[in-house]
Amino acid sequence: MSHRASRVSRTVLLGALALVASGCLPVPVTEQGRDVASLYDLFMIAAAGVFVIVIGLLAWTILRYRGAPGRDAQLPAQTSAKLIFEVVWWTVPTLLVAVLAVLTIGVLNQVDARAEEPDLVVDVAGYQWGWEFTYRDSGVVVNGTAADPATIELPVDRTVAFMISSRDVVHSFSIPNFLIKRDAIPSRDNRFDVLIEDEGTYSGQCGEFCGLLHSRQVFEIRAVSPDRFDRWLADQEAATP
Amino acid sequence: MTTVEQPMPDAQRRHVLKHADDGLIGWLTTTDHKRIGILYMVSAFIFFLVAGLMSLVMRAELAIPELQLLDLQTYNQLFTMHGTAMIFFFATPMVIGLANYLIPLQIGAPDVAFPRLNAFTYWLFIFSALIVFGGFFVTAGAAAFGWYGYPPLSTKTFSPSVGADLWVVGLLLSGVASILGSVNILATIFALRAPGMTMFRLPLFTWNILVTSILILFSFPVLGAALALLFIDRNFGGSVFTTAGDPLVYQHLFWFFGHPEVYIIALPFFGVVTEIVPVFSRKPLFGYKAFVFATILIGAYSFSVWAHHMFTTGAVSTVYFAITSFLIAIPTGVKFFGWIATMWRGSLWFATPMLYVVGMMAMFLIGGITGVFLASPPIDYAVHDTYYVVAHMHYVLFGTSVFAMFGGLFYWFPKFTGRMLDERLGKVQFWLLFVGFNVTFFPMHQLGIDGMPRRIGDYAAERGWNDLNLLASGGSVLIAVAVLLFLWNFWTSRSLGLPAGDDPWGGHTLEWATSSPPPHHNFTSLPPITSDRPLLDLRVRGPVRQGGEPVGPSEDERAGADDGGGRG
Amino acid sequence: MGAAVAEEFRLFFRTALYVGGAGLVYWLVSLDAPGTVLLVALTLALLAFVGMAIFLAPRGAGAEGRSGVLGLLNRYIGFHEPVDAAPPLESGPELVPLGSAWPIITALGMVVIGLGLIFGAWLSLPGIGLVVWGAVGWLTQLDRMG
Repeated sequence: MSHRASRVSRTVLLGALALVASGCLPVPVTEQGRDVASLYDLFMIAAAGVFVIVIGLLAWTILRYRGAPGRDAQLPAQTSAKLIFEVVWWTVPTLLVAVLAVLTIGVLNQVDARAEEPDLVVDVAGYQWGWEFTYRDSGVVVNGTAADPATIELPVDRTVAFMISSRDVVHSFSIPNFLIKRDAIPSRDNRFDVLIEDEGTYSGQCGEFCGLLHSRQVFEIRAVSPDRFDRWLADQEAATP
Repeated sequence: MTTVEQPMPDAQRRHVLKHADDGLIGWLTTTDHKRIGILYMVSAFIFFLVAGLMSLVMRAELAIPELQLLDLQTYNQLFTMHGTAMIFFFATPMVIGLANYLIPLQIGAPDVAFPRLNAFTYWLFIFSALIVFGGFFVTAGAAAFGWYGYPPLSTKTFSPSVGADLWVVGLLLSGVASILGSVNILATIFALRAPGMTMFRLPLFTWNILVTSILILFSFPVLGAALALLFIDRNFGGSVFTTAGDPLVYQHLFWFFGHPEVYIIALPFFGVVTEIVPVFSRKPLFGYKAFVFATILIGAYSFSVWAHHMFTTGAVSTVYFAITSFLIAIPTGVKFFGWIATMWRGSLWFATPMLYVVGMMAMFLIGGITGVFLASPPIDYAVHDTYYVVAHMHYVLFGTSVFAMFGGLFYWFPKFTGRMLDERLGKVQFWLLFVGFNVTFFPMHQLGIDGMPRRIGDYAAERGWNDLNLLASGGSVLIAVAVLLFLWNFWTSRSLGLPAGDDPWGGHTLEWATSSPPPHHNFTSLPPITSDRPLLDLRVRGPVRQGGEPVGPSEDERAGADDGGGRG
Repeated sequence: MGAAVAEEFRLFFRTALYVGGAGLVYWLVSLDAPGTVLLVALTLALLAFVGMAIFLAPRGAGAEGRSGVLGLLNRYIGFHEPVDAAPPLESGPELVPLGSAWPIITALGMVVIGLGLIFGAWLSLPGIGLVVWGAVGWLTQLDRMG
C-alpha cells in the first residue's frame, strides 16, 4: 500500500469512528429502550465495519489504479469475473444479515412483550391536535390541545401499558427517550408496555403526519417515584368533579 | 461474424422518413424516441427545480425555531408537493426519459415498439403533472397530507380542498402513463433487438430498465386501485378507507406500490453506474450475470417488503418483513462489490461522469447501511417518521439517484447533443454538490435520533434541534449553487461546448456506434454483437481481417469466462 | 413440455416463483388478508406472462441441455442462453414513425375526463369527444403508414 493510500485509509478510519461517536441515541430511560439502544450499538459496530472496509477498498482502488485520461489511453488487462470472488461476496453479506436478523428478533420479542398484569394501564387517545390520557383504574383523565399540551406523571419501576387509539386520523404516540412509538389508528387499538427506570421529564410528540397542527401535538411525561406518583394520582382524582 | 459492419437492410432504409421540422409543431407531434426522451428529461428536470425550490423554502423555514416565513398550511402543502413532485414528476419520468432515449440505441433498434403510444405517455404525464400542481391555484390550496396521502386524513372530512382531488386524479393519470410507458419499453426490449443482441448481451442499463418496467407494470396498478378507491371515498360516498372501513388497507395498497417504486427510481440509476464504471475503468464489467441476477433478485424482493414502512402500525408481521427487508441488502451488496471489482486493476479515468459515480457509491453505502438499521423493527420503532428516515431516504434517492443522474447526464450529454458539457465546471459542481449534500442531510440522522419528527413546519427552541437544523439549511444553499452551476453549464454547452464526436469516452455499448446526435433512424450500420460490450470488443480485438477470424480471444473463451461468473 | 422458454419469460417465471413462495410464507406467519391477496394476485399476473411464453415457444426446440429435474430447472429458471439461439421475438423491417398529433389530443382528452370527475360531469363530455377523435385519427393514421 502506498504512503498516500495508507494516509487515506487512516482518515477513513477516523471518520468512521467519529461517525460512531456522533450517532448516539438519546439516553434511553426504559428497560425496553435500553435493549433497543444496545441493539443499535451492535448495528453501529457492524455498520462501521462495513463502512470502513468498503470505503477503504474503494479509496485504495481509486488511488492505486488511476490511469491516464482520454479515450485512447492504453487498455489494461481485460480480466473478467472470477468465481471465488463472487462466492465470497454473496456469502459474506448473507452471513452478516443473518446475524443482524437473529439479534433483531431477540430484541424485538423483548420490546413487543406485553405484561399480563401491568401495574398501570393508561388509555391514550390521539386527536387533532392533542392527546388524552385516561388512567384506567382510577378514572383520572388528562387531556391537552395544541395550545395547552397535556402533562402527565408516570411511576418509575412499574410496568405501564399504553392502550393507543385515535379519534379521527392516524397519529403516532412517540416518546424519543423511550425509543419507541406506536401509531394511533382509528378503529384499531394498539399497545406497548414500558418499564421506566430513570426519573425525569420526557417530551413526546405525534410522529405520523396528521394535519395542520401536527407539529404542535406534543405532550410531556414526568417520570417520578411510585410514592410521588400515587400522591399525584390521588390529587388528580380529588380534583376531578 | 466476418465483417465489422452489418449494413442496414434495404427495407429498413426505405422507410426512413424525413426528419420532422424543428418548430413547435415538430416537437408537439414528434414520435421520435430521442425527442420524446429529451422532452421527458427536460420536463423532469424542470420539476426537479420546482420541487427543489420548495425544499429550499422549507429549509429556510426550518433554519431557526418557530415560524417565520410560512404558515403551517403552506408548509404542509410544500412538503406534500415536494415529495409528490420528486417521486412522480422528477425521478420516475427522468428514468423513463433516459430509457426512451437510450434503450433503442443500446439494443440497436431504430425506435421504440410503439412510437405514438410513447408520445401519448409523455403528454399524459405532463398534463397530469400540471393537474397536480394546479392544486396551488385553487382556493383551499394544494394537497397537504404528505406524498403518501394516508386516509382518513386524505378523505374529504379532513382534507376538503379541491387540490386534494386534483392530486388524486393527477397521480392516477400519471400512473396510467407510467404503465403504458413500461409496456412500450418491455415490448421494445423483447421484440426490437438487433441480430446477435441476445438477452444476456443486453447492456446492464437496459437490464435494469427491463426489471424496472416489470416493477412499474405490476406495482402502478395497485397504486391506481388505491387512488381510485380513495377518490370514491372522497367524492362518491364510499367508505373503504374511512373509519367505517379500514384505513390500514390503504397503507398496504400504497406501500405494495411504494416499495417497488423505490427500486423503480433506484435500479435504473444503478444501471447508469454499471454502464459508466466499466467504460472509465476501461475493462469489461466484472460478473455480468451476477449483476443481472442481482437486479432481478432486487426486483423480486421489492414486492415482499412493503410493510416495513408500517412496522409502527402494530398490525403487520414484523419478523417477516424484517427478514425480507434484510435480504435486499445481499444483492445490493453484490452490485457494490461488482463495481469495485470492475475498477480493480483497471485504468481509471476520472472524468466528471466517473467522479459522480464514485460519489454515488459513497452516498449509497451510507443510505444502504441506514436502510439495514430501519429494517430492524426495534430500531425502526425508535426512529420511524423522524428525520432519520428523511436522511436515509435522501441518501438513497438524492445521494444515489441524483448523483448517478448527473453522472449519466455528463456521460450521455455528448450523445444527446454532439457537444461536451464543460468538464471543469462539472468537477466544481460535483464537489459543491457532494459537500452541500452531506452538510444538508448527514446532520438529519442525528436530528432524527434526537427525536425530531418529519413533516413539522416549526419546532420549539428548547428541544435542542437548533444547531443541526441551521447547518442543514446552510448545506441546502450549496446544493442550490451546484444545481445552478449545472444549469449554466447545460445552457452554454448546448451551443458552445467542445464538439464531442461519435464516441468521446471510448464507450462499450451500441449507442456510441452511431453519430452524436444519432440520425432519425439511429444506425446506418451496426458492429457485430457478440457480448454485452461490442465496441470494447472491437478495440480489444483490433481490426478484423476481411473474411478472416478476429484477432484476440475468441468468443467462446470470453463466454466461458462470463459463465464462470454467472454461476457464482 | 419440451419447448425452450425464452429468457424474456423466464424472468417473469422466476419472479412468480419468489413472490408465490413469499405469499405462502406470508399467509402462514401473518394470516393477513390484504397482503396475501396482493401477493397471490401478483403471482397470478406474473404467471399469465409465463403462460404466454409456453404459448409462443417454438415447438420441438429446446431439447438441448440436461434432462431431468436439473434440465427442467435450467429450462424454466436457469441463467443460461444458448449462443445465438434466441432471436428477438419478432423481427422484420422496422418503420421509422411519422409525426403524429393524435397522441397529444388523446392525452388531453383523458385529462379533461379526469377533470370532469372533479368539477362536474359536463366537463367530461368534451373530454370523451377528444379521446374518440384522437383514437379514430390515431387508428386511421396507422393505415396510411403501412
